[in-house]
Parts: sequence; structure tokens; C-alpha cells
Amino acid sequence: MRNLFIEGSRDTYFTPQVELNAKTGICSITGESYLEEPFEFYEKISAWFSEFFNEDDKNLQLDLKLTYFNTSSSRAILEMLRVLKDHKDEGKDVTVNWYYPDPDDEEILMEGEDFMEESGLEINMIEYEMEEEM
Amino acid sequence: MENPKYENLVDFYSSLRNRDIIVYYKGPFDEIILSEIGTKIRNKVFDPPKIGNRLFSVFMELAQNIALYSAEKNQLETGVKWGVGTIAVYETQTCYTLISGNLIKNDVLDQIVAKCEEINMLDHEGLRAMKREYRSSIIKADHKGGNIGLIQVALKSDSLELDTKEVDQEHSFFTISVNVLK
Repeated sequence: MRNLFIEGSRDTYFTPQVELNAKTGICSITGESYLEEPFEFYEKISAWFSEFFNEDDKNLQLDLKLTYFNTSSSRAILEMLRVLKDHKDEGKDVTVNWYYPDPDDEEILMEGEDFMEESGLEINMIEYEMEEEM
Repeated sequence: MENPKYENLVDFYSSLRNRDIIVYYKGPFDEIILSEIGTKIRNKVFDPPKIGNRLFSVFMELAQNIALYSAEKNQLETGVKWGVGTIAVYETQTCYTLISGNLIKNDVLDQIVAKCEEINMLDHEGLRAMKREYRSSIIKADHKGGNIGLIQVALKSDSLELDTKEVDQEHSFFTISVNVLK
């Protein structure tokens, strides 16, 4: 099975960087998400997860470190998390980490909490140090 | 000699004279305009940075609302039709103000005003609950539109200030104004 890599970019739309590793099962989505076709984008990732779990029993870790996403993207991200919840309910080993910046910006944390409540998936909230503004 | 063609524009420009304008735009809200203006706001330095994140997020939702839902469309050379409207972003001593305006059909006006009034009655936790409820229940109902954009705007600003003005039997000009507090 192939890895899936999508380079993050900020052009007409804002594409998050996607790194899905078929060998290690360590995956990440990082950056900003404002997309022309958000559902197609996240469905592609969900399809990769489903293929990943079709093989032997594997552990998947998804690190989500999103600094901005519009509401259309947020609905597509929720769909993706629900796909992962279904895999977990089938007994697959799924870990999802949601990274939020420190200090004093709780909005990204709250987005993560809302995703956890809506998807029913357990999500680890992990604080990270914000880089200094250039 | 004054040219009447420009009189309104001069009046309008003068009315903004004492505002610290960050952005003023009127026209079709196509994807390039959205990302160009969005990036311009994103790259401006705010202290603390979270204020800039909020302003950017509110701008993007209001702009996408115009792009998708304005009753006035402009077909660009690509053949895609984009909603036409206007947005002004300016800074005051205490906040950043965003004003968006576009034409909407009178038959959906009541529905949108009612939704905004419902949003304005909720506190922060109430808005989060409403957002979760909308996002979970109407997922994919409208493929492009978040449909929760206005809730997101309210979460990141103070209340939604509305103004409506009927322009003809079918259309009204609908204005939303919000403040992102410093």
C-alpha cells in the first residue's frame, strides 16, 4: 500500500499538508484548510484509512494540527472522523491527537472538543508552543 | 463642475474618512478575491495574534456567504457565477468592524433574519451547541455551504447587527455588521 502525501499550500485555496504513512500508520494533517472541494479532499483521506485497515491489524495514529479551517472544511473533517469512529467500533486501533496552540487561544481547543463530542471518537487534546510571529 | 456620476462615491468615501480602513471591496466574490483579501488580513500583524485569527475567520465566512448566497451573480470569464456584494473592514480604538452587504431574495429574508435573531439570543456555550447540532444534522445537505457560517461568525465576534432595505418587489439589500473586540 502506498503512502499518501499532499503538499500543503496557500494559493487560491489553502490546502493542509497531508502525510499518511502506510508502513508506520503515523499520519498527520497540518496547516490551513479552505478548499474548493472539501468533501472530496477528506473523502480521499478516509478512503486511504479504509484501505489501510483492510490489511492486517494495524495501528493508526492521526495527528491533527490545523491552524485554520472554514466551516465547509469542518463538516468534511467531521465526516472523516466519523469514518475513523466506525473503524474503531469495529475493533481497529485508532488514536487521534488534536493539537492546539498555547498561549491563551482556546478556540482551536474548543473546535477539537466539539469534534470529539460530535464524532463520538476519543480525541487526545495536546497543547503546543506557538512559534513566534515573524 | 461636479460630475454627478461621482457624487455618491465622494459622499461614501467621505463617510469613511475617519475610519482606519483595512479592506473595502465591492464586486464578485470569486475564489481569487477571497484568498487575496483573506491572505492580506492573515498577514497583517495583530497583538495578540488570536485577534487576527478571529478577524480572518469572520472575514472568510462572511465573504463565502456572499460568494454562495448573494442573489446578485456575476459570471466571470471562467463561466462560473459568483455572488456579488460588498465588505468593509476597518479598525477603531476598541475593535475591528466588518460590514458585509448583498442582495437577497425577499422570500428568504425572514428566514435569515430569524436565524440571526436566534443566534443573537445565545451565549457562547449556546452557540457552540447550535453549531454542533447544525453541523451534525445537515451534513452534506448543501455540499458547498457550511450553513453554520453565521454561527461561526457570532462565536468569534460580538452580536450580529442586521439591517435590511427592500430594493424592489423581489430583493432586499441585507447588511450584517460585527465587531471583533481587541
